[in-house]
Amino acid sequence: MFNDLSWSVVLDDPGRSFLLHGAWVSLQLAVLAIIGSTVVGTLVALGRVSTAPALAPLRWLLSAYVEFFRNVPLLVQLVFWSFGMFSLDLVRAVAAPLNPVYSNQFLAGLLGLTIYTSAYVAEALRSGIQSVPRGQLEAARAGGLGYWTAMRAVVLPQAFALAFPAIGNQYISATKNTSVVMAIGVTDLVFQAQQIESATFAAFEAYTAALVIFIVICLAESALLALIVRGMLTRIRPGARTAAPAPALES
Amino acid sequence: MGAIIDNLPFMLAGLWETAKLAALAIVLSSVLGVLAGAMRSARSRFVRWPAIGYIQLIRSAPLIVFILYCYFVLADLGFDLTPFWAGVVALGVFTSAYLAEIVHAGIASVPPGQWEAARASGLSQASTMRDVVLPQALRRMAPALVSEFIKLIKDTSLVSIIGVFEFFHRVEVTNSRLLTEPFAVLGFAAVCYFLLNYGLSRVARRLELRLDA
Repeated sequence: MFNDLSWSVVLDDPGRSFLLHGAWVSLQLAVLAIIGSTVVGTLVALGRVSTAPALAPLRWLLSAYVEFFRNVPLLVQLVFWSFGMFSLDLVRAVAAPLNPVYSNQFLAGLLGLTIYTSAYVAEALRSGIQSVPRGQLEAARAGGLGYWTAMRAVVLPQAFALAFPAIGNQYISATKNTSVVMAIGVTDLVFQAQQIESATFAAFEAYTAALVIFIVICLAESALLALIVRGMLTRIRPGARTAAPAPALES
Repeated sequence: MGAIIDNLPFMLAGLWETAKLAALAIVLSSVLGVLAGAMRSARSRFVRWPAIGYIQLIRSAPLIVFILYCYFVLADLGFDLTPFWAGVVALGVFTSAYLAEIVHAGIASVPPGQWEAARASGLSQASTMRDVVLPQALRRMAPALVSEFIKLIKDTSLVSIIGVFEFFHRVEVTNSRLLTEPFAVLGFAAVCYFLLNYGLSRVARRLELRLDA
C-alpha cells in the first residue's frame, strides 16, 4: 500500500483545515484542563496535608477523591460526565451561557479531563509539599506567619519547584489524554483524522498526520516545561541552576 | 438498581473479555518491555539506539491514535487482525515502552559491582543480565510495574472504539438501550473498575511489604 500514498488528503483542503481545526480544539482542551487541574489539584493537596484534627473527615474524603479518580478509566469518567451529568436539565442550564463558544460535549470533556488530571497533580504536589523540610513551616510559623500564609508564601513555592518535574509529566499526559474526548463526540484532532480516514480510506496518512501534530505539541510543551522548572528552581535556590531534571515525555 | 441486575449477565460477560485482553496484553508488554529495557541498558550503541527510538516514538503517541493505527494501518499492510487481537497488540506494544523505561531504571539501580563480579567470575554478558542483574532489578521495579499494569487495565476500555466487545463497550450498549439510567449503569462500571484496580494496588502494597521484610 505504501507505493500509492496520497498525502494530499491531509496536506490540502479540506483535510488540512479539518486537522487544523481539530488541533485547535485539542490545544484549547489541553490548556484549559492543565490550568483547571492545577487549581483543583493544589486545593486537594493542601487539604490532604492539613493536620488539624477537625479536618480528619475532609482528609478522608480527599484521599477517596484521589483514589477514585485515579483508578477509574478516563473514558468511563468522560462518558459519565457527558451522558450522565450533561443529560440533566440543571447542568445544561448552567452550561448554556457558554454554549455559543463551547459545545456541551467539549465542556463535559474538559470537566472530565480536569478532574481526572487533578487527582494526579494532587498526588505529585502532596509529595512535593512533604519533601519540603518541616523546619521551613515551623520557622515561618515561629516568625509570626499564620498557617495559610506560611503555606502560601513559604512552603508552596518550594513544593511546586520540587514537584514540577512530576507535575509537568502529568501535563504532558493530559495533553495526550485529550484524544480520548473523541469517544464522546468532541471534534478534536483524532476525531478529525478519523473523519478524513472514513471519507478517503487513507488511514495511514490521516493518523500519521494526527500523530505528527501531537508529537510536535508535546515536544514544544516539554521544552517549555523544562524552562519553567529551571526558572522555579533558580528562584527558590539561586545556586541550583543546573540541577533541574527536564520532564520526560511521560504517559 | 433493577436495571443493573437485569443486565448483569450481559455486562459481566464483558468483564471476562476485559480480563483476557488485559492478561494477553500484560504478557506481550512484559516480554517486549523487558527486551527493550535490557537493550536500552546495553553498552553498544547499535543495540541501545534502536531501543531508545522504539521507546520514545511510542511514548510520544496518544494511546487512541496507537489503537487506531494498529487496527486500520496494520490491516492496510496485510495484517488483518480482528479487533480483539488488534487491541491486544496495541495495548501490549504501547505499554511495553513504558515498562522498558522502568526496567531500564531498575537495571541502573543494581550496583555496578554485581555486574562486574558476575563478569569476573566468567558469566557471559547475556547470562549476567539474565541471571544476576535482572532478578534483582525486577524486585525493585515491582511497585512501578504494578501501577503500569493498573494503567493497562484502565486502558482496555479504550479498545471499545475499534469495536472490541469488552466490559465498557457492553456497559455503553446497556446504557444506550435503557437511556433512562445513566447514573446507575455508568456508576456500576466505575465501581467495578475501581474495585479491580484499587484491590490490585492494595495486593501489590502487601507483596511489597513482604519483599522488604
